[in-house]
Amino acid sequence: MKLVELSGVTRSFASGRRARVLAVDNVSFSINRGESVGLVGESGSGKSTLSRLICGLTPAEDGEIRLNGKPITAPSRAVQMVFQSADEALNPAFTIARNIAVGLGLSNAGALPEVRSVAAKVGLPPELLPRLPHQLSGGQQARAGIARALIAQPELLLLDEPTAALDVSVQALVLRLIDRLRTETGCATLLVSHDLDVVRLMCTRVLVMYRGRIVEAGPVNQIIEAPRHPYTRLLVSATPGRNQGDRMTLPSTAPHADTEACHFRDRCPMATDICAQSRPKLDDMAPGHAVACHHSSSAAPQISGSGAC
Amino acid sequence: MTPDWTTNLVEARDLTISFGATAVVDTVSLDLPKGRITALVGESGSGKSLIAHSIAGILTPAATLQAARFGFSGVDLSDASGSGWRDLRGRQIAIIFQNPRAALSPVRRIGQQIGDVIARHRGLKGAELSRAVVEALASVGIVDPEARQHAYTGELSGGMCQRVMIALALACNPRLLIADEPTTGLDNTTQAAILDLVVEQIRARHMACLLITHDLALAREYADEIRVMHAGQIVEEAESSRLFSAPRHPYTRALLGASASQAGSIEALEPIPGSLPDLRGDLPACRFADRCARAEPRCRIAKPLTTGPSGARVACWNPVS
Repeated sequence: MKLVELSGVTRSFASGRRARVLAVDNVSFSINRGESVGLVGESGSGKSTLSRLICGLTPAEDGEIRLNGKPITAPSRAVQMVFQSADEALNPAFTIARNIAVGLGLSNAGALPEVRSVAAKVGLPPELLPRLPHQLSGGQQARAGIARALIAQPELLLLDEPTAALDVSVQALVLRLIDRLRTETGCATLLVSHDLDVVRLMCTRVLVMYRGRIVEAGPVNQIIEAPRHPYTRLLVSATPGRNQGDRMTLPSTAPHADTEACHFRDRCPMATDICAQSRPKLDDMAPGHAVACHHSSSAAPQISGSGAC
Repeated sequence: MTPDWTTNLVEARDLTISFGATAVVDTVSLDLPKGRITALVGESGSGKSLIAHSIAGILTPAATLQAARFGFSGVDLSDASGSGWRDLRGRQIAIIFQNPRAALSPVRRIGQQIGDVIARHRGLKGAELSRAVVEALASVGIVDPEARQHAYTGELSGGMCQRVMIALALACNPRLLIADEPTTGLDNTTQAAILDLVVEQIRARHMACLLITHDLALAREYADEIRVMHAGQIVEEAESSRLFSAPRHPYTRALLGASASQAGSIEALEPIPGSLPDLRGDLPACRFADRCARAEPRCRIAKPLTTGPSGARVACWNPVS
């Protein structure tokens, strides 16, 4: 049963006086009820814009986003976001209780019973509720951010690098918490991260984004163990501990604005003329595993050489 | 024991760094051998950066430093006013920080900033200086260094800024490179490129390197030696491969168990019980005792000795065998 469905979603932003950056370029995919999906890619690939689009915080220029079959045009209570830096996402002048109540659209703490129950769910002791965000540790702030999202009883939780700023032990706590809450509430999750190990633990399916496009999508283990798109291979080989001596260090170049080409072609060792002439479609290679590459059926290339970043 | 300056560039014995009565680094012994990368790993607040700062001579004046021995190739590092020491800094010891954009000036061109350092330490001028600047930028893989030297940091990506920082650090052929979380906040692909570059330079120049990181997978891939720190104490010293195959200190095991990179499934991911102790309070002799399932009464009374063969030393009364 599909919860969220994106078809041909596009969004660009002005960059300088005349240029526009295509942050999300004709993206289509869906998330099922209760599913845990990962979204990976390097900075600037459009991950955050895509999650803001799904959340209704940024309107799409083209295409459609449907939630339970109905188009999303404005922020909906059913889709909640947990932001990257919890300390910046909480209002510094509000108590923790009031910050959590904001998730219900209230600006007072009249919702105290709900606040208390959701705080208990995320393991936030009640004595912290009257405190201000700066009086909490990083892990406690992360819990408060999750509570604020959870109080609205969302059907989809968007998690934007929820543990990037946390220490290893606190990261483990928060990841376990998110996993438990997902099982308990049946809420679907879209986890945006550049940490493939976190995605491997938390998600069943993963979408790989590059310069505004989804270049590969499939079951998380297949993608990490046997990536098919050259960019996914680069990403996997750059993960510490996954370098099999075949690390690809490819130069990164200026983004392309042309829609009728593969965006990865300048960094790609497999690129040929066709890559500059037509945009590769996201085609199924195997059931549930899709790749957008003109050469996806070719063997893995051996790549070496250093480049800029 | 007399210092071994043929193998080691830096030797610290019983190094203690305190703020008032609080020892935030507690009797730490650490060697930095030439041509090798030594990683210092641990949670934030464990004292990793303070050790780096004390070696680089940029320790805050609020801290006091004591050591039985603290030397850099025969020069005493514990006397910050010593003239021998001043000569080391910048020329022989270089440091790269977590946030390169904050460490570089936003209002001077990157070529000028590198030029300042080279002029100061190598005494070059004019055309010779310009050539050295371009060479320094080229050596860290910056494409088109002649043009790029005129850029400001705001025009460069985070990865590029870190390359500039490394060029700056290596410009005077230092013998020690301290890298304090050099790739935190960078993309994995950029991180790999930066660290491959650092390793290549360390090997080529036979430098010593202290890599500070909280990322165990990163330490495993890039370091030869790993020192695990908890609350100001080094609890385990091991060769990189050995630490992961047979961790002996309960804290090392806990740290590995909490790392996403080491876990097979979300259920296998085990947070470390408790948190770092408040160093201002009454501390057990082994500072991990309150978080440790293997703790015995003596762990609270007597600080465990560091024992074991070289490459597999552990400070624990009840290590995992």
